[in-house]
Amino acid sequence: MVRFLIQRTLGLVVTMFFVSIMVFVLMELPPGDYAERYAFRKFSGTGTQITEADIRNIRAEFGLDRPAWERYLDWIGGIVTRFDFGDAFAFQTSVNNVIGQRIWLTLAILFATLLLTYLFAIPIGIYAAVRRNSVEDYGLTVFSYLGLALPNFLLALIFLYISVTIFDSSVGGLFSPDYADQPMSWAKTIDLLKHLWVPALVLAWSATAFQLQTVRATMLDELNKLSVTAARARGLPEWKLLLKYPARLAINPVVSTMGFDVNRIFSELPIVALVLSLPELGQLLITSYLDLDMFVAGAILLMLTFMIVLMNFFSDIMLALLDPRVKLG
Amino acid sequence: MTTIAAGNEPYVKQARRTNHFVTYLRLLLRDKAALFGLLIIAVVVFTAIAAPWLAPHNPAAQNMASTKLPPAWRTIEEKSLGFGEGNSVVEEVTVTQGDPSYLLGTDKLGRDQLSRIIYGARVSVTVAFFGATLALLIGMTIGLVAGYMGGHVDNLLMAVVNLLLSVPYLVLVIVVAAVLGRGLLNVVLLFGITDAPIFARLTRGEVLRIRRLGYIEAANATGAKAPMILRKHIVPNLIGPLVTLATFEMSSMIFYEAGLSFLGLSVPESVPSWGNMLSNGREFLLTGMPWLMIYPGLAIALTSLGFNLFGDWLRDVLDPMARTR
Repeated sequence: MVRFLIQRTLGLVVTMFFVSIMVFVLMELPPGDYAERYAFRKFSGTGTQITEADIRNIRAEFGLDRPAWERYLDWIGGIVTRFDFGDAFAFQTSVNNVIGQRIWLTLAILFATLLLTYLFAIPIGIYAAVRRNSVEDYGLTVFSYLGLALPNFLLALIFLYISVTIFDSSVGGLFSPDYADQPMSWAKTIDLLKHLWVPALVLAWSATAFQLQTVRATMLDELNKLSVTAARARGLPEWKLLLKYPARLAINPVVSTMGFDVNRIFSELPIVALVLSLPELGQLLITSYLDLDMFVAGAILLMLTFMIVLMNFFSDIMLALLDPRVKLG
Repeated sequence: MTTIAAGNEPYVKQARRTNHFVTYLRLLLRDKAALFGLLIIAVVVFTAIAAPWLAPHNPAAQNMASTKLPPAWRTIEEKSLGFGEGNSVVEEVTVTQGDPSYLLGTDKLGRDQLSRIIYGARVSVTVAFFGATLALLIGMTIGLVAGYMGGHVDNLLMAVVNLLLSVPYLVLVIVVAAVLGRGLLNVVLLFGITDAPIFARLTRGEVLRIRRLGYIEAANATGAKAPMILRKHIVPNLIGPLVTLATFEMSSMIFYEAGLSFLGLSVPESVPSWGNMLSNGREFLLTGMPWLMIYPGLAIALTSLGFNLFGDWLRDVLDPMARTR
């Protein structure tokens, strides 16, 4: 087990190294750089002609004139040694300042969503499989289809519409106006939780619909196994044998796709966040990437990808712990 | 012995003569949900093709005389404060009645919503169909090469694929959108490129599985060359899982296309698409005009439901092992 852990940790480091290179390539990919944007913004409307020399000077000032490999080493060196993600050009401060609070809010939404998804999907999926072809089972299948067919952002809009027209309060944002500018405190955390359930529920909806079917299908396969029949023959109570054999294995596919769930949540969050006006990382990534403010975009890209890679790492370890049949190494 | 063989012969011949198409059709007719899904897909595709004949108005025509009309069967009352006699403040009630010639109402520029939904099917169908086909072709090629060549080629290709799969999908979409720019062809390319890794991974897994089967070994033993084995034995067995995946991906491409419209990264705003309609209607959702979002939203949800229902049936029929994998 220890060897397995060390191997996986080394694998994580190697993966992150390649991820960092890929992120840097993505940062370099769009044509142009921030120096041109900056020059255009600074001088547009002033009547001054922008010359090549001006742009070259700005580029040198931003440190964008050096060769790519040098800038990569500088960038990744700063992150690894000083946890410094570079300068946010458009915000005229450091990237760390810009994304600081948004990271925690993004993570809060992510974990709330994952928690809700697994809390719903696993027990309900097991229940549906046990009561196969019952009214409840068909009802849950219909729910699954609704969950898969209704885009998240539409669900968010429906929430918004109902809350405004019926309850006369907005569900948007992550904080009430009273708390928005205050430092973090106990009361503010409570306020956050009151707002957090809306995006979490919206995002968990489709994830639950999907995982529910996976749990149900695995459960159905496992229920036909001889171990279940044998346990029944031994006179084990039904609930005990359900938990002991099939339910334990029905969790495996859910655990092994945790990284995939994170990926999907991160992909759907920016659009939901746009509808509910939440301050999270995804939208900032989009605006800064399109604005060529690449250190901000790079930092966010690195973090989101890191979360997915980390989740895959945890799901591998959890799978090895849960299922002794998984080969280590 | 001879009597048994003779007795079996008619069945063997009959089985060989059975048309696959008829078998599938019979299976489809038995499954009401899948039939409903296929019906939805057929209606949407027909709408997309026949849009110019079906749409009652030109989807781009602006009619400033009748803007923000509700659906034909609805009447809305809008209260606003105005000045009465002697500068007194009175409440004015404006009643707007739906116009039967604009069945689903009009937007802020007086464009017919129904016609825009009908034309919007074109964008969704094009993006879903060509995007998924392109992704399937790119992904299948990469997966076949990786799975069949093995060794370093496999390691390298799969390292890249897994790297791409660990980046949030939307981020990949945005990167490609930023590089390519807006436009229908670019949206198709965008989904074709960003979705290819999923198809590549599926293809490679299937190739590795199929290669271990006895009949490939037999083909190898008879001296069949690699291209021949790929074409005759491996690719036909890939079609089932790949087409199934493509059906589900079409549904999510329709979602993401609408989502990209929200972010201003899909087709230009002037093009009638369901995503653009939703994105334009958003500001009016809370000001008493929810129908600007309800109907395009319904179009997206129904189409997606169709693809999901049909995809589930395809999976059961073409790829019976999928659920246990």
